[in-house]
Amino acid sequence: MRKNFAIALIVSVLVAGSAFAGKFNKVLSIGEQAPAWPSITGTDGKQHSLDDYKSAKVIVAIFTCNHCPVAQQYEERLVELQRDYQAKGVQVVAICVNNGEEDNLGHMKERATERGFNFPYLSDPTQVTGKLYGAQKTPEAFVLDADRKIVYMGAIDDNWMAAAEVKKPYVRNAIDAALEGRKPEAQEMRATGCGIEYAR
Amino acid sequence: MLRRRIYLRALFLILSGLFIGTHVGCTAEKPPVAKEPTEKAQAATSPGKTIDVTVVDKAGFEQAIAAHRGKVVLVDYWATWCGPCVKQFPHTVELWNKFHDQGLDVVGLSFDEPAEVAGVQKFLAEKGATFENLISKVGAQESSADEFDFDGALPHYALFDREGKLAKRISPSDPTTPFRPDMIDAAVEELLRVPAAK
Repeated sequence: MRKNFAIALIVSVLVAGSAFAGKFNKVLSIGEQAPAWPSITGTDGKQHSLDDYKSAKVIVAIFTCNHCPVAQQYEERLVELQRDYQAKGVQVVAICVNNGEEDNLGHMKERATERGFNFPYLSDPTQVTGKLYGAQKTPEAFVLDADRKIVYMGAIDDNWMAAAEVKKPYVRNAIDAALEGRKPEAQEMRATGCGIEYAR
Repeated sequence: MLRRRIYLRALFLILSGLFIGTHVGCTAEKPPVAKEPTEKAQAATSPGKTIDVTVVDKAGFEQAIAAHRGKVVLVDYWATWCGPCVKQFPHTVELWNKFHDQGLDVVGLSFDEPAEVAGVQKFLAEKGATFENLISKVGAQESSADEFDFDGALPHYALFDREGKLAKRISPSDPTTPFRPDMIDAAVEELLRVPAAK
């Protein structure tokens, strides 16, 4: 009886979620294995899972959406990020878990075309991916190293309003560190942006 | 003589302009927060419908909450540019209408830029948000989450008990707790059941 209770307790702790959590992230911590997200549909009409990017040396998973003005401010910066790091084997993957009308797959396709996205833009209306990563805002970035460990999470940089005013490009610094096999100076920074609403 | 008449007319226009400029948007009520370092933001929207919005920093916000001691306070952290905030805002107004008589005060804290207060006031007037309204001195800059001591994800709701102590935070973007608007109602009703200390 007691043994059963102990097993039940262990199982419930495991099910309730990871014992880890970051300074701001309530689900993941730095150094943890990145959760594999299920196959989700991209604006290219194809299914994408984390495993599909096995050849990438570094993956930058970014939770973003169409409607948020902060996310919109970063669209051009994400295109530049992919362009600048393409040759180094870095893959940007944008994921939208928002459920609003403006953020549905149809509108995502339009946005990806209009803004010239050079990276996959994936739609997960089930919000499972956002919950697995503990993403709270758009945009919110996760940098995954070659072993798919999380080496950085949070803000893309330190100035969402003006790209020209950025002094600390957190994600770029984390990518550089991961490519060189070292830890970045900043490992977790609070993301600034619109809250992702998790509906029951 | 003609020159003097023009001069007097110009003087009258300037003075009346100043009078209107300083009184549009004012109410008879005393502002709930200190004048320094906060300031009153006013915009020339239609008279009688203008809703005061006070620019606050951390200290101004704390003073505003303290001024409601004896009441349960619901703070709605929002912005006009935040879709979910706008969608959720009428619910906050409903709560105000429903529970104000039972001791609920509502404070709206906008994270729009103070320079864009006119748009905030227009929105508030349209929604009938006649409760106290504040606007972040730093808008939605990176420092705003630290300034107002929350996770920085809008919308956000904070509840203070009748003693002025933070009792609960509700964040719709908490991935570990799926959000339903009636979570706010339940928290408000629970706090209202606790009588004020004598």
